[in-house]
Amino acid sequence: MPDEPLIPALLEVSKGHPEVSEDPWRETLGTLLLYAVALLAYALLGMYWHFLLSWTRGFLFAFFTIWLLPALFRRWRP
Amino acid sequence: MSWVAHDVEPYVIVRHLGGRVSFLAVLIGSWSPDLVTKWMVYGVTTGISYHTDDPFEFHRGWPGVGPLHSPVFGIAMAIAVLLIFRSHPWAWGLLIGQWAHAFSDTMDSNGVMLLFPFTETRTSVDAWTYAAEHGRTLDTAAYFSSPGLLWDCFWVGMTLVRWRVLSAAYFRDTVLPADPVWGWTGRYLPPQALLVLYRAAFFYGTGRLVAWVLWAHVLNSYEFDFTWGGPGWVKDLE
Repeated sequence: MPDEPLIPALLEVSKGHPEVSEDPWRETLGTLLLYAVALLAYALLGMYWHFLLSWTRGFLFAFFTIWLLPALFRRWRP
Repeated sequence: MSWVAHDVEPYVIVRHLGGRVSFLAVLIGSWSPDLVTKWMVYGVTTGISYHTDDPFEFHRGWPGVGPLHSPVFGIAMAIAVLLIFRSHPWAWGLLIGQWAHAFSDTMDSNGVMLLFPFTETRTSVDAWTYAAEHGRTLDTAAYFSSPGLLWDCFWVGMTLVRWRVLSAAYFRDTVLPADPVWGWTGRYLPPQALLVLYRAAFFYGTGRLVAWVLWAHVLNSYEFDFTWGGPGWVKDLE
């Protein structure tokens, strides 16, 4: 549907996703915990391997840790 | 220079200005002065070998890349974006983000040419010592031992106080509709990935804040010095 306005379509999709909830309080403890653990892991790894602390690698780490890994986990979960 | 402040200031700005500015533009504007110049300041030896003889002058002065830290660069970016893309949220976002970087960097001892090109005089509050000329390792150790660390913690705290700016609801209702770039990105990534991208600068900034503090003060024993203009030990190296 190339003529469909993209942002309204995206908003519709996002409303249906559990991670993008109506109420910010409903962003679950699990999500916050995931961010906290990922952040601590990033900090501890970066403390030893400074190359992880560059802009690009920091973003890649955030992206892969917080989005891709849980997405894969959900897919693999029986 | 400031470190983490440039990563998290955009969230505070967007929380105050809402959908009138593009978050991505504020973030890019906030990073823009250092985005392609920092590697030259520290020098690189991977692939190509380059380093400047005088990082102190090169980074903030003229001749050098100092004008990228001047507010006039933010104005130039905003005008260019306005003329080419006719996007007010992007033009204002780039301008405000770059200005936030410029004024934050007046806090160190090197200062910023705020009135360039009319004068090359640098404005400096001299709250902490600029130490890039000592290389990345010592610069990092000095910054995260100085009032610069408090400055970064202040901005992380300001963002956490306004924690709703990091929520999915704020992203969906305010950030996303203000910027068609999210819509374009959404052609290739699912919504939860866009949300991660939106939060990534905060994650990255706080992550490296913790990492560098642990490195400087747990793995190593660099001395904290929160006195104005600190740390004194890096001045002794000069």
